[in-house]
Amino acid sequence: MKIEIWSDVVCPWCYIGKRRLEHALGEFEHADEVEIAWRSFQLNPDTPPGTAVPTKEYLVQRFGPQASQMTGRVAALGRDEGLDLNFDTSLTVNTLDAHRLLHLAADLGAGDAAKERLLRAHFTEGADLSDPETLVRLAGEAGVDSDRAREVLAGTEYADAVRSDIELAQAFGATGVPFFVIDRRYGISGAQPAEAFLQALRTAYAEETQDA
Amino acid sequence: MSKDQRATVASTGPGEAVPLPGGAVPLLRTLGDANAAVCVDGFCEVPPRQEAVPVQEATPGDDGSHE
Repeated sequence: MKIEIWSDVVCPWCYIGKRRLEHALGEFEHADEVEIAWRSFQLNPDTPPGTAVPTKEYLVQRFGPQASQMTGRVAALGRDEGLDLNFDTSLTVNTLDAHRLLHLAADLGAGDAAKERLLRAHFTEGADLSDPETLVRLAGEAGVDSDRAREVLAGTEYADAVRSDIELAQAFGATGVPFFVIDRRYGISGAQPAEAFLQALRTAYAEETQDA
Repeated sequence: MSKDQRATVASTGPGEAVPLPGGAVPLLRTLGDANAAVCVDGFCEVPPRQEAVPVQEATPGDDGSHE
Protein backbone atom coordinates (compact mmCIF):
# COMPACT_ATOMS: atom_id res chain seq x y z
CA MET A 1 0.00 0.00 0.00
CA LYS A 2 1.50 3.31 -1.08
CA ILE A 3 0.40 6.59 0.46
CA GLU A 4 1.38 9.70 -1.44
CA ILE A 5 1.13 12.85 0.64
CA TRP A 6 1.03 16.30 -0.89
CA SER A 7 2.07 18.92 1.62
CA ASP A 8 4.11 22.04 2.17
CA VAL A 9 6.70 22.50 4.91
CA VAL A 10 5.04 25.76 5.98
CA CYS A 11 1.57 24.20 6.25
CA PRO A 12 0.45 23.68 9.85
CA TRP A 13 -2.33 21.29 8.93
CA CYS A 14 0.22 19.20 7.04
CA TYR A 15 2.28 18.88 10.23
CA ILE A 16 -0.79 18.06 12.30
CA GLY A 17 -2.03 15.66 9.63
CA LYS A 18 1.36 13.93 9.56
CA ARG A 19 1.14 13.28 13.29
CA ARG A 20 -2.42 12.05 13.08
CA LEU A 21 -1.57 9.69 10.22
CA GLU A 22 1.39 8.39 12.25
CA HIS A 23 -0.93 7.70 15.16
CA ALA A 24 -3.28 5.86 12.82
CA LEU A 25 -0.43 3.83 11.35
CA GLY A 26 0.55 2.90 14.90
CA GLU A 27 -2.82 1.18 15.18
CA PHE A 28 -3.06 -0.14 11.62
CA GLU A 29 -2.62 -3.91 11.44
CA HIS A 30 -0.81 -3.75 8.09
CA ALA A 31 1.42 -0.76 8.71
CA ASP A 32 4.47 -2.80 7.71
CA GLU A 33 3.05 -2.94 4.17
CA VAL A 34 2.70 0.83 3.91
CA GLU A 35 5.11 2.97 1.92
CA ILE A 36 4.99 6.76 2.28
CA ALA A 37 5.94 9.09 -0.57
CA TRP A 38 6.08 12.83 0.06
CA ARG A 39 4.86 15.02 -2.77
CA SER A 40 5.47 18.73 -3.15
CA PHE A 41 2.90 21.47 -2.90
CA GLN A 42 3.53 25.19 -2.49
CA LEU A 43 1.06 27.26 -0.52
CA ASN A 44 2.84 30.53 -1.24
CA PRO A 45 4.52 30.05 -4.62
CA ASP A 46 4.51 33.78 -5.33
CA THR A 47 6.70 34.61 -2.34
CA PRO A 48 9.94 35.97 -3.83
CA PRO A 49 12.80 33.47 -3.47
CA GLY A 50 15.38 34.43 -0.89
CA THR A 51 13.02 36.51 1.22
CA ALA A 52 11.70 35.62 4.65
CA VAL A 53 8.72 37.44 6.11
CA PRO A 54 7.47 36.86 9.67
CA THR A 55 4.47 34.58 9.23
CA LYS A 56 2.20 36.63 11.46
CA GLU A 57 2.97 39.78 9.48
CA TYR A 58 2.44 37.92 6.21
CA LEU A 59 -0.89 36.49 7.30
CA VAL A 60 -2.23 39.79 8.61
CA GLN A 61 -1.27 41.48 5.35
CA ARG A 62 -3.09 38.82 3.34
CA PHE A 63 -6.06 37.99 5.52
CA GLY A 64 -6.43 40.83 8.01
CA PRO A 65 -6.88 40.70 11.77
CA GLN A 66 -8.61 37.30 11.66
CA ALA A 67 -5.18 35.80 10.94
CA SER A 68 -4.17 36.07 14.61
CA GLN A 69 -7.26 34.18 15.71
CA MET A 70 -6.57 31.57 13.06
CA THR A 71 -3.00 30.95 14.20
CA GLY A 72 -4.07 30.79 17.83
CA ARG A 73 -6.66 28.13 17.10
CA VAL A 74 -4.33 26.09 14.90
CA ALA A 75 -1.56 26.28 17.51
CA ALA A 76 -3.96 25.02 20.17
CA LEU A 77 -4.89 22.02 18.04
CA GLY A 78 -1.20 21.42 17.33
CA ARG A 79 -0.55 21.19 21.06
CA ASP A 80 -3.11 18.40 21.21
CA GLU A 81 -0.80 16.45 18.89
CA GLY A 82 2.31 17.30 20.90
CA LEU A 83 3.45 19.93 18.39
CA ASP A 84 4.82 23.34 19.25
CA LEU A 85 3.58 25.54 16.40
CA ASN A 86 5.14 28.89 17.11
CA PHE A 87 3.67 31.42 14.71
CA ASP A 88 5.43 34.25 16.57
CA THR A 89 8.81 33.15 15.26
CA SER A 90 8.03 31.28 12.04
CA LEU A 91 9.04 32.78 8.70
CA THR A 92 7.06 32.60 5.47
CA VAL A 93 9.28 31.82 2.50
CA ASN A 94 9.18 30.42 -0.98
CA THR A 95 9.54 26.69 -0.36
CA LEU A 96 10.73 25.62 -3.80
CA ASP A 97 14.30 24.96 -2.62
CA ALA A 98 13.06 23.12 0.46
CA HIS A 99 10.99 20.85 -1.78
CA ARG A 100 13.91 20.26 -4.14
CA LEU A 101 15.93 19.19 -1.14
CA LEU A 102 13.14 16.89 0.02
CA HIS A 103 13.22 15.16 -3.36
CA LEU A 104 16.96 14.66 -2.98
CA ALA A 105 16.41 13.30 0.52
CA ALA A 106 13.78 10.88 -0.77
CA ASP A 107 16.18 9.62 -3.41
CA LEU A 108 18.70 8.97 -0.64
CA GLY A 109 16.19 7.16 1.55
CA ALA A 110 15.86 10.04 4.02
CA GLY A 111 12.61 11.56 2.80
CA ASP A 112 10.59 11.13 5.96
CA ALA A 113 13.40 12.24 8.26
CA ALA A 114 14.01 15.34 6.15
CA LYS A 115 10.32 16.19 6.03
CA GLU A 116 10.02 15.97 9.79
CA ARG A 117 13.20 17.99 10.30
CA LEU A 118 12.07 20.82 8.03
CA LEU A 119 8.61 20.98 9.60
CA ARG A 120 10.06 21.22 13.11
CA ALA A 121 12.64 23.76 12.00
CA HIS A 122 9.97 25.99 10.49
CA PHE A 123 7.25 25.72 13.10
CA THR A 124 9.18 25.30 16.31
CA GLU A 125 12.62 26.75 15.71
CA GLY A 126 11.79 29.70 13.47
CA ALA A 127 14.29 28.57 10.84
CA ASP A 128 14.55 30.38 7.52
CA LEU A 129 13.86 27.65 4.99
CA SER A 130 14.85 29.93 2.13
CA ASP A 131 18.44 30.12 3.38
CA PRO A 132 20.63 27.55 1.57
CA GLU A 133 23.01 26.94 4.45
CA THR A 134 20.11 26.42 6.84
CA LEU A 135 18.64 23.87 4.44
CA VAL A 136 22.00 22.13 4.08
CA ARG A 137 22.35 21.92 7.87
CA LEU A 138 18.83 20.57 8.36
CA ALA A 139 19.19 18.06 5.55
CA GLY A 140 22.48 16.95 7.05
CA GLU A 141 20.77 16.35 10.38
CA ALA A 142 18.30 14.14 8.51
CA GLY A 143 21.08 12.11 6.96
CA VAL A 144 21.56 13.86 3.62
CA ASP A 145 25.12 14.41 2.44
CA SER A 146 25.88 18.12 2.83
CA ASP A 147 28.00 18.45 -0.29
CA ARG A 148 25.27 16.85 -2.38
CA ALA A 149 22.65 19.10 -0.79
CA ARG A 150 24.75 22.18 -1.60
CA GLU A 151 25.18 20.97 -5.16
CA VAL A 152 21.43 20.58 -5.62
CA LEU A 153 20.62 23.93 -4.05
CA ALA A 154 23.18 25.70 -6.24
CA GLY A 155 21.39 24.55 -9.40
CA THR A 156 17.89 23.71 -10.51
CA GLU A 157 17.92 19.97 -9.90
CA TYR A 158 14.54 18.49 -8.87
CA ALA A 159 12.67 21.66 -9.85
CA ASP A 160 10.89 19.64 -12.51
CA ALA A 161 9.94 17.02 -9.94
CA VAL A 162 8.43 19.71 -7.71
CA ARG A 163 6.43 21.15 -10.59
CA SER A 164 5.32 17.70 -11.64
CA ASP A 165 4.04 16.97 -8.12
CA ILE A 166 2.07 20.19 -8.04
CA GLU A 167 0.55 19.54 -11.45
CA LEU A 168 -0.43 16.04 -10.40
CA ALA A 169 -2.15 17.38 -7.29
CA GLN A 170 -4.06 19.81 -9.46
CA ALA A 171 -4.99 16.99 -11.84
CA PHE A 172 -6.37 15.07 -8.88
CA GLY A 173 -8.43 18.15 -8.05
CA ALA A 174 -6.64 19.04 -4.84
CA THR A 175 -6.66 22.74 -4.11
CA GLY A 176 -5.28 22.53 -0.62
CA VAL A 177 -3.07 20.43 1.59
CA PRO A 178 -2.48 18.03 3.17
CA PHE A 179 -3.82 15.70 0.53
CA PHE A 180 -3.37 11.94 0.71
CA VAL A 181 -3.72 9.40 -2.08
CA ILE A 182 -3.65 5.68 -1.45
CA ASP A 183 -2.51 3.53 -4.37
CA ARG A 184 -3.88 6.12 -6.79
CA ARG A 185 -7.35 4.82 -5.95
CA TYR A 186 -8.43 6.63 -2.80
CA GLY A 187 -8.23 10.32 -1.94
CA ILE A 188 -8.20 11.74 1.55
CA SER A 189 -8.26 15.50 1.95
CA GLY A 190 -7.14 17.35 5.04
CA ALA A 191 -5.82 16.66 8.51
CA GLN A 192 -8.27 13.95 9.41
CA PRO A 193 -8.63 12.78 12.99
CA ALA A 194 -6.43 9.70 13.57
CA GLU A 195 -9.55 7.55 13.84
CA ALA A 196 -10.69 8.67 10.38
CA PHE A 197 -7.27 7.90 8.93
CA LEU A 198 -7.33 4.48 10.51
CA GLN A 199 -10.78 3.74 9.16
CA ALA A 200 -9.72 4.89 5.69
CA LEU A 201 -6.62 2.70 5.78
CA ARG A 202 -8.67 -0.32 6.82
CA THR A 203 -11.28 0.33 4.15
CA ALA A 204 -8.68 0.72 1.42
CA TYR A 205 -6.77 -2.36 2.54
CA ALA A 206 -9.88 -4.52 2.78
CA GLU A 207 -11.15 -3.48 -0.65
CA GLU A 208 -7.79 -3.90 -2.34
CA THR A 209 -7.27 -7.28 -0.75
CA GLN A 210 -10.70 -8.33 -1.97
CA ASP A 211 -9.93 -7.11 -5.49
CA ALA A 212 -6.57 -8.88 -5.63
CA MET B 1 -12.72 29.08 6.04
CA SER B 2 -15.77 28.98 3.91
CA LYS B 3 -16.81 25.71 2.43
CA ASP B 4 -15.87 26.76 -1.09
CA GLN B 5 -12.31 27.41 0.08
CA ARG B 6 -11.80 23.84 1.13
CA ALA B 7 -9.88 21.40 -0.97
CA THR B 8 -11.93 19.61 -3.48
CA VAL B 9 -11.03 16.21 -4.72
CA ALA B 10 -11.68 14.81 -8.13
CA SER B 11 -13.40 11.87 -6.71
CA THR B 12 -16.15 9.39 -6.79
CA GLY B 13 -18.53 8.92 -3.98
CA PRO B 14 -19.79 5.45 -3.24
CA GLY B 15 -21.12 4.10 -6.50
CA GLU B 16 -20.49 7.30 -8.43
CA ALA B 17 -18.13 8.00 -11.27
CA VAL B 18 -17.08 11.56 -12.04
CA PRO B 19 -14.72 11.89 -15.01
CA LEU B 20 -11.69 14.13 -14.60
CA PRO B 21 -10.91 16.80 -17.18
CA GLY B 22 -8.46 15.28 -19.60
CA GLY B 23 -8.64 11.94 -17.87
CA ALA B 24 -4.89 12.01 -17.22
CA VAL B 25 -5.10 10.66 -13.71
CA PRO B 26 -7.25 7.96 -12.21
CA LEU B 27 -10.46 8.72 -10.44
CA LEU B 28 -10.17 8.75 -6.70
CA ARG B 29 -12.72 7.50 -4.30
CA THR B 30 -12.94 9.86 -1.36
CA LEU B 31 -12.36 8.47 2.09
CA GLY B 32 -12.46 10.25 5.43
CA ASP B 33 -14.19 13.42 6.48
CA ALA B 34 -14.75 15.74 3.52
CA ASN B 35 -14.59 18.74 5.86
CA ALA B 36 -11.22 18.01 7.44
CA ALA B 37 -8.85 20.93 7.84
CA VAL B 38 -6.69 22.01 4.92
CA CYS B 39 -4.53 24.97 4.04
CA VAL B 40 -5.68 26.70 0.87
CA ASP B 41 -3.60 29.46 -0.69
CA GLY B 42 -1.85 30.12 2.61
CA PHE B 43 -5.03 30.20 4.66
CA CYS B 44 -5.27 27.51 7.33
CA GLU B 45 -8.49 27.98 9.22
CA VAL B 46 -9.88 25.53 11.73
CA PRO B 47 -13.11 23.80 10.73
CA PRO B 48 -15.76 24.95 13.21
CA ARG B 49 -16.42 21.56 14.71
CA GLN B 50 -12.73 20.99 15.46
CA GLU B 51 -12.54 24.09 17.59
CA ALA B 52 -12.44 23.53 21.30
CA VAL B 53 -15.85 23.92 22.84
CA PRO B 54 -15.68 25.51 26.29
CA VAL B 55 -16.91 23.11 28.92
CA GLN B 56 -19.70 24.55 30.97
CA GLU B 57 -20.83 23.04 34.18
CA ALA B 58 -24.41 22.00 34.07
CA THR B 59 -26.60 23.75 36.53
CA PRO B 60 -30.03 22.71 37.64
CA GLY B 61 -32.59 23.81 35.13
CA ASP B 62 -30.17 23.92 32.15
CA ASP B 63 -32.17 21.26 30.44
CA GLY B 64 -35.37 23.07 31.06
CA SER B 65 -36.42 20.77 33.81
CA HIS B 66 -37.36 22.09 37.21
CA GLU B 67 -37.41 19.44 39.80
